[in-house]
Amino acid sequence: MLFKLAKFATPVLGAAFLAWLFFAPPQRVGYAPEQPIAYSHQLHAGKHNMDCQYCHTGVAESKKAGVPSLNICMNCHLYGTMGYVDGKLSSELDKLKKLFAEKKSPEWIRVHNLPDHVKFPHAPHVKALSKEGAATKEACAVCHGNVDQMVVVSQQMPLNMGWCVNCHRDYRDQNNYRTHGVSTSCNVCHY
Amino acid sequence: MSAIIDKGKESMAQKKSQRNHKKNSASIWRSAEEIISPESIAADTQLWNDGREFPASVQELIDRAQNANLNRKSFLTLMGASLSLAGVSCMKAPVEKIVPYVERPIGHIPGKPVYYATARVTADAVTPVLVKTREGKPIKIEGHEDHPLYRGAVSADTLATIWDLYDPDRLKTAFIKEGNTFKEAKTEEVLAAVAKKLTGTVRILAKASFSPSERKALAELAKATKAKVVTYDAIGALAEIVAGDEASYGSNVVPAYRIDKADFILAIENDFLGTWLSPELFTRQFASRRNPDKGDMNRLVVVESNMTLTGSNADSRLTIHAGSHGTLALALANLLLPGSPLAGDAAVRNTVSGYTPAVAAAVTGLTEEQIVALAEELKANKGKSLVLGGGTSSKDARPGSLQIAVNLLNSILGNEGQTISTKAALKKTNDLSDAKAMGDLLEELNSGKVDVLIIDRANPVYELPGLGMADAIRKAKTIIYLGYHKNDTAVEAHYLLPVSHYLESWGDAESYGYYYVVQPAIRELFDTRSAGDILLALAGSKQKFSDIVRQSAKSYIKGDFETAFTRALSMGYVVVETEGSSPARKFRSAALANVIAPKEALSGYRVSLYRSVAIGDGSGANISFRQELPDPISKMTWDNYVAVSVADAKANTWKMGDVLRLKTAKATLELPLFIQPGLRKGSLAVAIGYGQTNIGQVAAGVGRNAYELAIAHNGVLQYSAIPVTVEQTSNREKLATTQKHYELGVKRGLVRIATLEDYRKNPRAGHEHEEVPHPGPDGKSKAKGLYTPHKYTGNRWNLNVDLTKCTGCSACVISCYSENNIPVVGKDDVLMGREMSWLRIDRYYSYQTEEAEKADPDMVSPDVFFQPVMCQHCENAPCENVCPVGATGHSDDGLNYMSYNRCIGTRYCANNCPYKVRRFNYFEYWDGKLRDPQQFSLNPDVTVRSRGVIEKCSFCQQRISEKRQAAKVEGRELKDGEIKTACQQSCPADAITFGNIHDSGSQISAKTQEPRTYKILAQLNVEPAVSYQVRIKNQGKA
Repeated sequence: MLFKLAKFATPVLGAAFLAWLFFAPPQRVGYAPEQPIAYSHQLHAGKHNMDCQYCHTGVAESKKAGVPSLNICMNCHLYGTMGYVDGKLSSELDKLKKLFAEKKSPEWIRVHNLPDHVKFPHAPHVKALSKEGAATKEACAVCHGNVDQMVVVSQQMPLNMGWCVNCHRDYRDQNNYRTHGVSTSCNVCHY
Repeated sequence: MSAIIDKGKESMAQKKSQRNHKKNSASIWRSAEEIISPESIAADTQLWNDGREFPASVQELIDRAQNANLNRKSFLTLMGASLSLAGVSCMKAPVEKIVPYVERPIGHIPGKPVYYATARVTADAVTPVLVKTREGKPIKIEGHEDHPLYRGAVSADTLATIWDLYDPDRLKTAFIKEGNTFKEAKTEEVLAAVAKKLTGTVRILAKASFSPSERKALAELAKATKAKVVTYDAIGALAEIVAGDEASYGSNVVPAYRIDKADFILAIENDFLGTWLSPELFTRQFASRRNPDKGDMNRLVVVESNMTLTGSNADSRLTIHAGSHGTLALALANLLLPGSPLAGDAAVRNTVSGYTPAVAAAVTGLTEEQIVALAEELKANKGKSLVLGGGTSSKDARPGSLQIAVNLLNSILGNEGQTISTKAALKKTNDLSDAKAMGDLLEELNSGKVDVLIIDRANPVYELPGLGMADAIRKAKTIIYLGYHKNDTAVEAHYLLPVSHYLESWGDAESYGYYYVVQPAIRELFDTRSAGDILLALAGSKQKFSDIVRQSAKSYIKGDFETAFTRALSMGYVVVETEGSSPARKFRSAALANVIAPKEALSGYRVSLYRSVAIGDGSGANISFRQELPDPISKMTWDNYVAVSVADAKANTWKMGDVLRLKTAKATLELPLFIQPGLRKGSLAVAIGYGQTNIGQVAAGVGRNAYELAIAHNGVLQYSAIPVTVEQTSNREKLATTQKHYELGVKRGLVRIATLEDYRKNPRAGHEHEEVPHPGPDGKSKAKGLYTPHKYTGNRWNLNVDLTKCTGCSACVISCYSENNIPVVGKDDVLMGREMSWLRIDRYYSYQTEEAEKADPDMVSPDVFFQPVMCQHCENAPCENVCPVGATGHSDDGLNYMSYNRCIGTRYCANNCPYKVRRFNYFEYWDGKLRDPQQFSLNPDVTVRSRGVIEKCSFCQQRISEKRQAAKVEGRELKDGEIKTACQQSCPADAITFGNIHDSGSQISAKTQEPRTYKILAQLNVEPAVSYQVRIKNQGKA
């Protein structure tokens, strides 16, 4: 009996395992690619306690949070004296200044990347997650983790559909949907 | 409309039998062949799987596989390989890069669209538009809703200009001809080289321009090179008006046509809703007076020889023989003259007195009663009517012929100064077109006197074959061509200078009392220059064209210039003169000598050339979206054809697709025939704009060049009623018409119609006997479905289409393509019924009564109706419960959504859809097929669908989401009218309403409760979210 079960179950389980191996969505938690410039969020958002929105300007009004344009960096690093350690410019900043002088942008590697068929808008999420009087980063941390402690940014949450939907269910308030509720209809994210 | 809608107080059973009986008699039908030669559509039905709604496509796939030499073994090998490759590709997520701005322009936030107000200038009109840009790239053209005159109206052709910008076949850099080949060169260098060559006799051939600044630049070039400028207008719509007005009133303005002020409109051979001057503006004005609910209803009578968009929207359409429009106009003048201000004018009386109703009836084919009744109606609407005439298909051998006759009618009726006003008119039009100057130029060219010929964005080799243009221009020693494409004229040139698209360049325009500043929405994509800059550079001027534009603007803008100019840029326009009535101009009877009005019936076959709604004059023919837009009347794509009357088809046993040979004295043209109801025996019609050889990959070889049939009379081209001999060849061609595609198994059709008279008696006229769903067991309540009904607590979206306003102009179709990244499929796939349009416009023919149908066996004057059909977002959607993977479902705001990433392409939903609005993506139409830079035209907010999924109208989900998210961020509720679907935004007739049905104060709630509103296939109990309003025809008192 046990043998029979094993005889039939092995290929089935084996096939399932192989299928899972091939077709399972990639697990991106912990994904922390090396960036062209070793920018540290820990230094900026942590040590200097800068607000996320100082650089990610679109986050409260657009779909995209936006990676800062170089002129935002230069507010402090060109016109101010930030980035000098013992009177010496850090080598990473040197890269940035060279790029800026050449009117070129660094090609950042995208860390938090949703598939193209998912439409995620930042603005309403930031609005919903922000608490009165709290810093923006508390709202951001829900999905991005504690970026202010990251030297190299890594993905903290799975950002897969189940994870999104769980939260949407928690926040769901059908009676107040028109203004503040959250829906779990497919067309909210997929169109 | 008794034939379609039965009346009476009989019992249900009697009613039913009567309805069945009437179904077989005066019915609604969709193609002429259904009536005259049902056997000829056998092939069509075979393709469409014996009427089983979908084309049989298996055989074709088998053929493809066999042609690919795919046997079982190689098939398995390939399948295995692709399966493992698919697995590999899933193992690793793609690495994407983010490249931020170096310096972000103020106001540009990634992810947020920026709109620019600008204007599109064609040879005929100026259309104010908004350009939607995302991350600096224009992605869509929208109507300019704040413009007081246009109020958001935009045409299909203008909407398609977004693809002109991204046309891969555009001239991307300058070219120099070496031997027989063109060599690429930097524009800057070629400009400098060419500027030195402009010596000797220089001639400039240009198209008419609305731009004061371009005129200045052209004048500068003419001055610098001592050149003579010859303007011409092959289409001749504006030139005809100017010629006519000059002769009849001595004024050379194109007056403002105030269609919204007219209670009664008579259009003689004039397609003002489709192709004449500014159809989008005229549609807006016309539709603004189609409000049967408010008792404000104009009446449109169209007299024409070919079935046009305007004719199909007429309340009464009178079909005449081609070439008899002048006769009809003078016959009406004859009947109206007594008692009019011109009654004392002996010259007028003498000219028109010969045109009695009997003479006119013999020439036009109408009855005397019809002509007299029409005159009576005009008389009853003196000063409140408007007679329009002219256009491509009425361009006679003498300039302004029909225009003069129409002017006479308007002067007699006292419309001059009222519904036709010289206030806020189109001025400075004296350089429009000059047949004499053109004749002189031809002579100079032929005698070899011209050293340098500069051709500014004109295509004379293609448009003027009748004048022998190709041979003539080859005699010029140097030809410099400015333009957008390497077209039929450009290939003859020695230097090609690339002109920027209007979305890339500065410019201006003046029309109908408005001054427009054309501003760029993107920097030049390629090494191109604006036409003004090229002209200035050739003139050796150091000035920039944008500075000239600012200078010109100074004469139109009042107040502090910088402030006012910035405001003009943000608005896109400046009001120069407000509209209003003007003093009536005095008619000069001497002009009547130019009117061509035969007193005897024209013999033989007469072909009239016309512009099609989609292709127009052919300058935009290289855009596949234009080619695939079904013609509103014939529903033909990717081809031109000769439209023949049903009578001629019967007499000669012609079938659809038979190739005819049309011969004039000089030219021969072979074209497939299309049997078009609404033509009289002997009348033929061919669309121009097709048959270009060199313009680009898309348009090359599509159709034939109908300009070749035009006859030249001392430089004046005749497009109307060209005498031809017709022979049938043994060839046949496949016509890619969509009119039989996705036909529903409903004999009665889905369109509902009623006369204004019936509507006044019964507001539910037209759909009073609408089928209703089966009742529940108690006989009253609605039958219970299998599924629990949806509950809505928030929004519930509904859409309404007012068929009384809808003209079928197809702007919504193109807008939908542009907004939703819908691919075109090409002629072969259209033939297989695979067109992807999410929004189709059904066109029906019908008759008012059975008697009328029996009396007109040759279908000379059927009624035509349009109905846009998109996904109906059913409440009890049949598609939702057959989807095995839950890819389509119902949202909590009442939408029937489609998640493409779940779809596995079973097509069960399409099969189960009663409205046939779901489209299957058979091939990878986008991926790998887009040629650089076409990818920029895609809307980043909409998923680009891949092969193997079903797609359909989403009520522009991305637009709903955008506004809903904005409302959430601002912490408010959505406002009514805030969300506009793409079709609604572009609709020049304002026929579409969209909104939340749960908001009792919304426009859509009001619309849905109006008695005119009905839902299609209501008997199925699917409860669609789209409703329609019955089309009301104003039959008038006559």
